[in-house]
Amino acid sequence: MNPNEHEEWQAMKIQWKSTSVAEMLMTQQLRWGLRLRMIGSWAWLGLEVAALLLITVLGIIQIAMGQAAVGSLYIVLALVGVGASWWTRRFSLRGASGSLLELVELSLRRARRGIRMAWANYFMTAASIVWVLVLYSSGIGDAQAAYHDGARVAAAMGMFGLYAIGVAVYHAYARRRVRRFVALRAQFAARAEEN
Amino acid sequence: MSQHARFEDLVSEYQVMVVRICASYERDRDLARDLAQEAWFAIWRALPAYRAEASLKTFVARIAQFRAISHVARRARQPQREALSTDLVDQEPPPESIAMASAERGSLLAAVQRLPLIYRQPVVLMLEDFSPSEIAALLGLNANVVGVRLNRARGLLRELMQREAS
Repeated sequence: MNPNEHEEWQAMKIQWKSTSVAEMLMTQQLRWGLRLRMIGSWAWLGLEVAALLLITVLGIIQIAMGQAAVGSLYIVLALVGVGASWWTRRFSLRGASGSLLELVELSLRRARRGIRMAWANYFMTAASIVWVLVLYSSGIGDAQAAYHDGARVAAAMGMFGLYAIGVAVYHAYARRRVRRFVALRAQFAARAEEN
Repeated sequence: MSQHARFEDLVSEYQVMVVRICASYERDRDLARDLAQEAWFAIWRALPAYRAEASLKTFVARIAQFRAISHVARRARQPQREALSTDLVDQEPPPESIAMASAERGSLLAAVQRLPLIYRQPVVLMLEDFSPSEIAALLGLNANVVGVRLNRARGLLRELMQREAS
Protein backbone atom coordinates (compact mmCIF):
# COMPACT_ATOMS: atom_id res chain seq x y z
CA MET A 1 0.00 0.00 0.00
CA ASN A 2 1.56 3.32 -1.02
CA PRO A 3 1.65 6.30 1.40
CA ASN A 4 -1.19 8.08 -0.37
CA GLU A 5 -3.45 5.03 -0.14
CA HIS A 6 -2.49 4.56 3.49
CA GLU A 7 -3.31 8.20 4.23
CA GLU A 8 -6.65 7.94 2.47
CA TRP A 9 -7.59 4.82 4.42
CA GLN A 10 -6.49 6.45 7.68
CA ALA A 11 -8.66 9.50 6.96
CA MET A 12 -11.63 7.25 6.18
CA LYS A 13 -11.05 5.19 9.31
CA ILE A 14 -11.14 8.32 11.47
CA GLN A 15 -14.33 9.40 9.74
CA TRP A 16 -15.79 5.90 10.11
CA LYS A 17 -15.03 5.66 13.81
CA SER A 18 -16.65 9.02 14.49
CA THR A 19 -19.87 7.91 12.83
CA SER A 20 -22.84 7.94 15.13
CA VAL A 21 -24.84 5.10 13.67
CA ALA A 22 -28.09 6.10 15.34
CA GLU A 23 -27.78 9.59 13.92
CA MET A 24 -26.84 8.35 10.49
CA LEU A 25 -29.76 5.97 10.29
CA MET A 26 -32.09 8.69 11.49
CA THR A 27 -30.76 11.01 8.77
CA GLN A 28 -31.39 8.36 6.14
CA GLN A 29 -34.93 7.78 7.33
CA LEU A 30 -35.65 11.49 7.28
CA ARG A 31 -34.28 11.70 3.76
CA TRP A 32 -36.49 8.86 2.61
CA GLY A 33 -39.48 10.35 4.38
CA LEU A 34 -38.85 13.71 2.75
CA ARG A 35 -38.46 12.16 -0.69
CA LEU A 36 -41.73 10.28 -0.33
CA ARG A 37 -43.50 13.39 0.92
CA MET A 38 -42.12 15.46 -1.93
CA ILE A 39 -43.48 12.93 -4.43
CA GLY A 40 -46.79 12.87 -2.55
CA SER A 41 -46.91 16.65 -2.57
CA TRP A 42 -46.37 16.81 -6.35
CA ALA A 43 -48.99 14.12 -6.90
CA TRP A 44 -51.49 16.06 -4.76
CA LEU A 45 -50.69 19.28 -6.64
CA GLY A 46 -51.34 17.39 -9.89
CA LEU A 47 -54.75 16.30 -8.61
CA GLU A 48 -55.57 19.86 -7.53
CA VAL A 49 -54.59 21.28 -10.91
CA ALA A 50 -56.62 18.62 -12.72
CA ALA A 51 -59.68 19.28 -10.54
CA LEU A 52 -59.44 23.05 -10.95
CA LEU A 53 -59.00 22.72 -14.72
CA LEU A 54 -62.05 20.46 -14.87
CA ILE A 55 -64.15 22.98 -12.95
CA THR A 56 -62.93 25.78 -15.24
CA VAL A 57 -63.75 23.78 -18.37
CA LEU A 58 -67.21 22.98 -16.99
CA GLY A 59 -67.70 26.70 -16.30
CA ILE A 60 -66.67 27.60 -19.84
CA ILE A 61 -69.07 24.95 -21.21
CA GLN A 62 -71.90 26.41 -19.09
CA ILE A 63 -71.14 29.89 -20.40
CA ALA A 64 -71.01 28.57 -23.97
CA MET A 65 -74.42 26.93 -23.40
CA GLY A 66 -75.83 30.31 -22.41
CA GLN A 67 -75.78 29.73 -18.63
CA ALA A 68 -73.53 32.69 -17.87
CA ALA A 69 -74.49 32.94 -14.17
CA VAL A 70 -73.87 29.24 -13.50
CA GLY A 71 -70.67 29.30 -15.55
CA SER A 72 -69.43 32.31 -13.58
CA LEU A 73 -70.04 30.43 -10.32
CA TYR A 74 -67.90 27.56 -11.62
CA ILE A 75 -65.11 29.98 -12.53
CA VAL A 76 -65.36 31.66 -9.11
CA LEU A 77 -65.05 28.27 -7.39
CA ALA A 78 -61.97 27.48 -9.51
CA LEU A 79 -60.42 30.84 -8.60
CA VAL A 80 -61.09 30.22 -4.89
CA GLY A 81 -59.36 26.86 -5.30
CA VAL A 82 -56.35 28.48 -6.97
CA GLY A 83 -56.15 30.96 -4.08
CA ALA A 84 -56.30 28.20 -1.46
CA SER A 85 -53.64 26.20 -3.28
CA TRP A 86 -51.36 29.25 -3.51
CA TRP A 87 -51.89 30.02 0.18
CA THR A 88 -50.85 26.47 1.07
CA ARG A 89 -47.66 26.65 -0.97
CA ARG A 90 -46.78 30.31 -0.58
CA PHE A 91 -43.50 29.56 1.21
CA SER A 92 -40.99 27.56 -0.73
CA LEU A 93 -39.32 24.71 1.08
CA ARG A 94 -35.58 25.13 0.87
CA GLY A 95 -33.42 22.07 0.33
CA ALA A 96 -31.31 20.55 3.09
CA SER A 97 -27.66 19.75 2.47
CA GLY A 98 -27.93 16.52 4.38
CA SER A 99 -27.10 17.40 7.97
CA LEU A 100 -29.52 15.98 10.48
CA LEU A 101 -30.43 19.41 11.87
CA GLU A 102 -31.33 20.75 8.44
CA LEU A 103 -33.34 17.66 7.66
CA VAL A 104 -35.27 18.01 10.91
CA GLU A 105 -35.92 21.67 10.09
CA LEU A 106 -37.07 20.80 6.58
CA SER A 107 -39.30 18.01 7.90
CA LEU A 108 -40.81 20.48 10.34
CA ARG A 109 -41.53 22.99 7.57
CA ARG A 110 -43.10 20.27 5.45
CA ALA A 111 -45.24 19.11 8.36
CA ARG A 112 -46.38 22.72 8.90
CA ARG A 113 -47.25 22.91 5.23
CA GLY A 114 -49.30 19.75 5.81
CA ILE A 115 -51.30 21.63 8.44
CA ARG A 116 -51.85 24.56 6.04
CA MET A 117 -52.93 22.05 3.41
CA ALA A 118 -55.49 20.63 5.84
CA TRP A 119 -56.87 24.13 6.56
CA ALA A 120 -57.01 24.91 2.83
CA ASN A 121 -58.96 21.69 2.29
CA TYR A 122 -61.42 22.51 5.10
CA PHE A 123 -61.90 25.90 3.47
CA MET A 124 -62.40 24.43 0.01
CA THR A 125 -64.86 21.86 1.37
CA ALA A 126 -66.84 24.66 3.04
CA ALA A 127 -66.64 26.78 -0.14
CA SER A 128 -67.88 23.83 -2.21
CA ILE A 129 -70.79 23.23 0.19
CA VAL A 130 -71.79 26.90 -0.03
CA TRP A 131 -71.39 26.75 -3.82
CA VAL A 132 -73.63 23.68 -4.14
CA LEU A 133 -76.25 25.20 -1.82
CA VAL A 134 -76.21 28.53 -3.67
CA LEU A 135 -76.73 26.76 -7.00
CA TYR A 136 -79.45 24.54 -5.52
CA SER A 137 -81.40 27.23 -3.73
CA SER A 138 -81.14 29.97 -6.36
CA GLY A 139 -83.33 29.90 -9.40
CA ILE A 140 -80.45 30.36 -11.82
CA GLY A 141 -79.61 27.92 -14.59
CA ASP A 142 -81.53 25.06 -16.13
CA ALA A 143 -84.37 23.84 -13.87
CA GLN A 144 -83.68 20.23 -14.95
CA ALA A 145 -79.93 20.41 -14.22
CA ALA A 146 -78.27 18.18 -11.64
CA TYR A 147 -77.54 21.10 -9.33
CA HIS A 148 -81.30 21.55 -8.76
CA ASP A 149 -81.82 17.86 -7.91
CA GLY A 150 -82.27 17.52 -4.14
CA ALA A 151 -81.12 13.87 -4.01
CA ARG A 152 -77.89 14.65 -5.85
CA VAL A 153 -77.25 17.66 -3.67
CA ALA A 154 -77.73 15.46 -0.57
CA ALA A 155 -75.31 12.90 -2.02
CA ALA A 156 -72.79 15.68 -2.68
CA MET A 157 -73.16 16.82 0.94
CA GLY A 158 -72.46 13.27 2.12
CA MET A 159 -69.32 13.16 -0.03
CA PHE A 160 -68.15 16.50 1.32
CA GLY A 161 -68.71 15.20 4.86
CA LEU A 162 -66.65 12.09 4.19
CA TYR A 163 -63.93 14.19 2.58
CA ALA A 164 -63.86 16.52 5.60
CA ILE A 165 -63.41 13.49 7.89
CA GLY A 166 -60.46 12.39 5.74
CA VAL A 167 -58.96 15.87 5.96
CA ALA A 168 -59.42 15.83 9.76
CA VAL A 169 -57.50 12.55 9.99
CA TYR A 170 -54.69 14.02 7.88
CA HIS A 171 -54.79 17.20 9.97
CA ALA A 172 -54.30 15.21 13.18
CA TYR A 173 -51.41 13.31 11.58
CA ALA A 174 -49.74 16.55 10.39
CA ARG A 175 -50.12 18.10 13.87
CA ARG A 176 -48.52 15.04 15.43
CA ARG A 177 -45.61 15.30 13.03
CA VAL A 178 -45.14 18.98 13.84
CA ARG A 179 -45.09 18.21 17.59
CA ARG A 180 -42.60 15.40 17.01
CA PHE A 181 -40.17 17.55 15.00
CA VAL A 182 -40.52 20.51 17.36
CA ALA A 183 -39.59 18.17 20.23
CA LEU A 184 -36.69 16.76 18.24
CA ARG A 185 -35.40 20.25 17.46
CA ALA A 186 -35.73 21.22 21.13
CA GLN A 187 -33.72 18.15 22.12
CA PHE A 188 -30.92 19.23 19.81
CA ALA A 189 -31.02 22.76 21.16
CA ALA A 190 -30.83 21.44 24.75
CA ARG A 191 -27.88 19.24 23.85
CA ALA A 192 -26.14 22.14 22.16
CA GLU A 193 -26.52 24.20 25.35
CA GLU A 194 -25.16 21.33 27.44
CA ASN A 195 -22.12 21.22 25.22
CA MET B 1 -13.84 -16.00 33.79
CA SER B 2 -17.44 -17.13 33.32
CA GLN B 3 -19.01 -17.05 29.88
CA HIS B 4 -21.41 -14.36 31.08
CA ALA B 5 -18.63 -12.05 32.26
CA ARG B 6 -16.64 -12.71 29.10
CA PHE B 7 -19.64 -11.88 26.98
CA GLU B 8 -20.25 -8.66 28.88
CA ASP B 9 -16.65 -7.63 28.25
CA LEU B 10 -17.07 -8.37 24.57
CA VAL B 11 -20.25 -6.33 24.37
CA SER B 12 -18.73 -3.32 26.07
CA GLU B 13 -15.62 -3.48 23.90
CA TYR B 14 -17.08 -4.28 20.48
CA GLN B 15 -20.69 -3.13 20.60
CA VAL B 16 -20.05 -0.07 18.45
CA MET B 17 -18.10 -2.12 15.90
CA VAL B 18 -20.93 -4.67 15.61
CA VAL B 19 -23.53 -1.93 15.17
CA ARG B 20 -21.40 -0.25 12.50
CA ILE B 21 -20.93 -3.53 10.64
CA CYS B 22 -24.68 -4.21 10.78
CA ALA B 23 -25.51 -0.66 9.70
CA SER B 24 -23.28 -1.15 6.65
CA TYR B 25 -25.61 -3.88 5.46
CA GLU B 26 -29.00 -2.60 6.60
CA ARG B 27 -30.21 0.97 6.06
CA ASP B 28 -33.34 0.75 8.17
CA ARG B 29 -32.48 1.86 11.70
CA ASP B 30 -34.73 -0.60 13.52
CA LEU B 31 -33.72 -3.52 11.33
CA ALA B 32 -30.03 -2.64 11.79
CA ARG B 33 -30.54 -2.75 15.55
CA ASP B 34 -32.35 -6.06 15.30
CA LEU B 35 -29.52 -7.37 13.17
CA ALA B 36 -26.94 -6.28 15.76
CA GLN B 37 -28.96 -8.05 18.42
CA GLU B 38 -29.08 -11.20 16.31
CA ALA B 39 -25.32 -10.97 15.82
CA TRP B 40 -24.77 -10.69 19.57
CA PHE B 41 -27.02 -13.68 20.15
CA ALA B 42 -24.97 -15.67 17.63
CA ILE B 43 -21.76 -14.53 19.35
CA TRP B 44 -23.14 -15.65 22.72
CA ARG B 45 -23.96 -19.07 21.31
CA ALA B 46 -20.58 -19.41 19.60
CA LEU B 47 -18.52 -18.17 22.53
CA PRO B 48 -18.01 -21.61 24.18
CA ALA B 49 -16.48 -22.81 20.89
CA TYR B 50 -13.92 -19.96 20.79
CA ARG B 51 -10.44 -21.53 20.76
CA ALA B 52 -8.28 -18.39 20.64
CA GLU B 53 -7.05 -19.27 17.15
CA ALA B 54 -7.89 -15.71 16.15
CA SER B 55 -8.28 -12.58 18.27
CA LEU B 56 -11.60 -11.95 19.99
CA LYS B 57 -12.10 -8.93 17.77
CA THR B 58 -11.75 -11.12 14.67
CA PHE B 59 -14.09 -13.69 16.21
CA VAL B 60 -16.76 -11.04 16.88
CA ALA B 61 -16.32 -9.34 13.49
CA ARG B 62 -16.53 -12.65 11.63
CA ILE B 63 -19.83 -13.59 13.26
CA ALA B 64 -21.26 -10.10 12.78
CA GLN B 65 -20.25 -10.21 9.10
CA PHE B 66 -21.77 -13.65 8.58
CA ARG B 67 -25.00 -12.54 10.25
CA ALA B 68 -25.12 -9.42 8.13
CA ILE B 69 -24.47 -11.34 4.92
CA SER B 70 -27.17 -13.90 5.68
CA HIS B 71 -29.48 -11.00 6.50
CA VAL B 72 -28.75 -9.44 3.08
CA ALA B 73 -29.33 -12.80 1.38
CA ARG B 74 -32.60 -13.29 3.28
CA ARG B 75 -33.74 -9.78 2.43
CA ALA B 76 -32.90 -10.23 -1.24
CA ARG B 77 -35.49 -13.01 -1.30
CA GLN B 78 -38.13 -10.75 0.22
CA PRO B 79 -40.00 -7.88 -1.50
CA GLN B 80 -38.42 -4.44 -0.89
CA ARG B 81 -40.05 -2.11 1.58
CA GLU B 82 -39.18 1.22 3.16
CA ALA B 83 -40.71 1.95 6.53
CA LEU B 84 -41.52 5.51 7.48
CA SER B 85 -40.23 6.69 10.81
CA THR B 86 -42.84 6.71 13.57
CA ASP B 87 -40.80 7.09 16.74
CA LEU B 88 -38.16 9.69 16.05
CA VAL B 89 -38.73 11.53 19.31
CA ASP B 90 -38.09 8.46 21.41
CA GLN B 91 -34.64 7.96 19.96
CA GLU B 92 -31.69 9.54 21.67
CA PRO B 93 -30.14 12.04 19.31
CA PRO B 94 -26.40 12.61 19.52
CA PRO B 95 -24.86 15.94 20.55
CA GLU B 96 -25.41 18.78 18.15
CA SER B 97 -21.73 19.15 17.55
CA ILE B 98 -21.74 15.67 16.06
CA ALA B 99 -24.91 16.39 14.13
CA MET B 100 -23.40 19.47 12.49
CA ALA B 101 -20.79 17.30 10.81
CA SER B 102 -23.14 14.46 9.98
CA ALA B 103 -23.39 15.26 6.27
CA GLU B 104 -19.72 14.55 5.78
CA ARG B 105 -19.59 11.47 7.98
CA GLY B 106 -22.93 10.27 6.74
CA SER B 107 -21.69 10.24 3.22
CA LEU B 108 -19.06 7.62 4.12
CA LEU B 109 -21.56 5.20 5.65
CA ALA B 110 -24.02 5.91 2.82
CA ALA B 111 -21.24 5.26 0.29
CA VAL B 112 -20.24 2.02 2.06
CA GLN B 113 -23.87 0.90 2.00
CA ARG B 114 -23.96 1.45 -1.76
CA LEU B 115 -20.85 -0.60 -2.47
CA PRO B 116 -21.35 -3.99 -4.13
CA LEU B 117 -21.17 -6.77 -1.54
CA ILE B 118 -17.79 -8.10 -2.68
CA TYR B 119 -16.23 -4.70 -1.99
CA ARG B 120 -18.30 -3.84 1.06
CA GLN B 121 -17.10 -6.85 3.06
CA PRO B 122 -13.36 -6.03 2.97
CA VAL B 123 -13.99 -2.28 3.24
CA VAL B 124 -16.03 -2.56 6.43
CA LEU B 125 -13.32 -4.72 8.01
CA MET B 126 -10.57 -2.39 6.79
CA LEU B 127 -12.38 0.58 8.33
CA GLU B 128 -12.65 -1.44 11.56
CA ASP B 129 -8.83 -1.59 11.63
CA PHE B 130 -8.29 -5.13 10.39
CA SER B 131 -5.15 -5.59 8.28
CA PRO B 132 -5.48 -6.88 4.69
CA SER B 133 -4.04 -10.26 5.74
CA GLU B 134 -6.53 -10.52 8.62
CA ILE B 135 -9.34 -9.62 6.22
CA ALA B 136 -8.14 -12.31 3.82
CA ALA B 137 -8.17 -14.90 6.60
CA LEU B 138 -11.52 -13.72 7.89
CA LEU B 139 -13.22 -13.83 4.50
CA GLY B 140 -11.41 -16.94 3.34
CA LEU B 141 -9.86 -15.11 0.39
CA ASN B 142 -6.43 -14.82 -1.11
CA ALA B 143 -4.51 -11.75 0.17
CA ASN B 144 -3.99 -10.51 -3.39
CA VAL B 145 -7.72 -10.66 -4.07
CA VAL B 146 -8.37 -8.64 -0.92
CA GLY B 147 -5.75 -6.08 -2.00
CA VAL B 148 -7.34 -5.69 -5.43
CA ARG B 149 -10.83 -5.42 -3.99
CA LEU B 150 -9.73 -2.83 -1.43
CA ASN B 151 -8.06 -0.81 -4.12
CA ARG B 152 -11.13 -0.84 -6.36
CA ALA B 153 -13.40 -0.18 -3.40
CA ARG B 154 -11.38 2.87 -2.41
CA GLY B 155 -11.89 4.37 -5.87
CA LEU B 156 -15.61 3.55 -5.77
CA LEU B 157 -15.96 5.06 -2.32
CA ARG B 158 -14.29 8.27 -3.43
CA GLU B 159 -16.59 8.44 -6.45
CA LEU B 160 -19.74 7.73 -4.41
CA MET B 161 -18.83 10.30 -1.77
CA GLN B 162 -18.15 12.95 -4.39
CA ARG B 163 -21.49 12.20 -6.03
CA GLU B 164 -23.21 12.42 -2.65
CA ALA B 165 -21.57 15.76 -1.95
CA SER B 166 -22.46 17.34 -5.32
